[in-house]
Amino acid sequence: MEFLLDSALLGLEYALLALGVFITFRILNLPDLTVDGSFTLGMAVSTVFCAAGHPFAALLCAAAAGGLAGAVTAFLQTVCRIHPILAGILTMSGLYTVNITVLGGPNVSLLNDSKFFEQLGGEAAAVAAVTVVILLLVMAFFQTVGGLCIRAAGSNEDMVRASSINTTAVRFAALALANALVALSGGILAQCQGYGDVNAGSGMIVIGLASVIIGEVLCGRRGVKLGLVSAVLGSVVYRIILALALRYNLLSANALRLLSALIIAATLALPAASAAVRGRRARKENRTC
Amino acid sequence: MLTLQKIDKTFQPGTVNAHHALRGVDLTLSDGEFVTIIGSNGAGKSTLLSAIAGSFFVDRGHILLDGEELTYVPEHRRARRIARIFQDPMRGTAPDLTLEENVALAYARAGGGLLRPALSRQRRALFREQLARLNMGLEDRMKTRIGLLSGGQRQAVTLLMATINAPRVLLLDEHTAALDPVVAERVLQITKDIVSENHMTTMMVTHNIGAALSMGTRTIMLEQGKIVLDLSGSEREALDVPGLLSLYRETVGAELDTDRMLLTHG
Repeated sequence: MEFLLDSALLGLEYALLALGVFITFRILNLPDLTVDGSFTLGMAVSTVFCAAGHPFAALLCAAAAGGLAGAVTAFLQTVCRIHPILAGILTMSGLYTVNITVLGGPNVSLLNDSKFFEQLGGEAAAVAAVTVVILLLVMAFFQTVGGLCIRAAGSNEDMVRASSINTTAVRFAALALANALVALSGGILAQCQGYGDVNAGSGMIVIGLASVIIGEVLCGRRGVKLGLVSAVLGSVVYRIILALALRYNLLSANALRLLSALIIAATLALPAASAAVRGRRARKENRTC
Repeated sequence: MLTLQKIDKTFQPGTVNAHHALRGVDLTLSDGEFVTIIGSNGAGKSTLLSAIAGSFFVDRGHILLDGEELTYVPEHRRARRIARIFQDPMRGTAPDLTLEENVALAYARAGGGLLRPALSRQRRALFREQLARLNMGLEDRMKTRIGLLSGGQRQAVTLLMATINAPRVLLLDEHTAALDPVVAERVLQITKDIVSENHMTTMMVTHNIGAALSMGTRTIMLEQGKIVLDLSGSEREALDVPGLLSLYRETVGAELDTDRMLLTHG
């Protein structure tokens, strides 16, 4: 039972990553690959500040750094007119150097430093509280005028371009917000696991997408509010599924990434697959009559 | 007052695809004037509206609104004062947002904080009242995703959204062409009501020659990026659809030819 609670906690630590991915992938409708880099950036910044004795400032600075990374991607996408996917990859690659410079080595331990949750009533309570507060804030934000602008840009960019909303500003805001959340997730994780690792970000986009999609399978796609909640839920369920699979030796730890990727691909392929089946059935019926 | 001074635009200059879309268009619209625009395919009607809306900057010439130079003001900054509606009813609204959220977004354009809640009880009541005036039963579907509404309903909502902040200029780019005739008639009626009520300077591109004559106070005809006819007053009132067509033939030396011209009396 305890390993389930542990993995649920781990899921909460990754929940803000899932929120960030949900914002770009589902609300802005533009998958953002900066995530792998900004997650590690948050982790590196948090580790350095925590080691210097500022565990709370560590989280704030991690989020700010992530926001900056998102702004760089937005700059490449809008001002430089680079393809959105490529822009994300460029930022992510460049961030590797930044991250290793910030961290000062591939791996830094926080074994004897004080962490943010020690003053907030334990790891589980603190992480849960931070996650819930941020979730509520993000939910509220997407009901404000600024939030509606981002949602409208993801839903119909033509409309937004012809209205008085500045599409460039929207892109900056959305990517900065999403990557700030991702980096905050990395920052929280660094303090909870007690070390910062420069390679921790690899494959984070896949984990984030898997969480979003598991959440959608569980809750359906019904609006932004429920979507944000389901992303958090998906992150927790994702970790529980992994823990169960590992515990009962259903698969080796090395197979996890492949399995996650396959699940995402299969889910994203569902609309195309069901259209193909419908088309074939219609053709068959037409032939028989 | 909206003034266009010798505006000129060439797309893809210096290539084999170079297209001289606007050739020194001069036009002055006084406040509250309602102009209908007709012309063949490719005459530059939509391009003219795009130039005014700021989708691109003109190569030469000036665009002024109430004496203020707009020529190089970006599209989103003009949009507060210049609203535009497209032919495609899907273009003007965000399908994944609810009806009330779409209207709220348009309403918020007037200014105010970005972090303020988009919908309040007060605003909902206002939107409900505005929607009720469209007479389409939309006031009871405010929480419906707008993607679930029909094209005509969406275009009526778009019209409401475009005019909710009383812009100075309203640009209508064949905004009823994709609707079935009955719905198109209804949307035209709503257009008339809203325009006359708000006293907006309006430009309406249309393929419906009847509507071009029956709506508004002035009709201009574009041909190859130039204004070739500018009718108003008694001269315009005396014209019927065949009369306008023969006038076009005399002026341009060809039949008014578009792929979906409507010759009915609107």
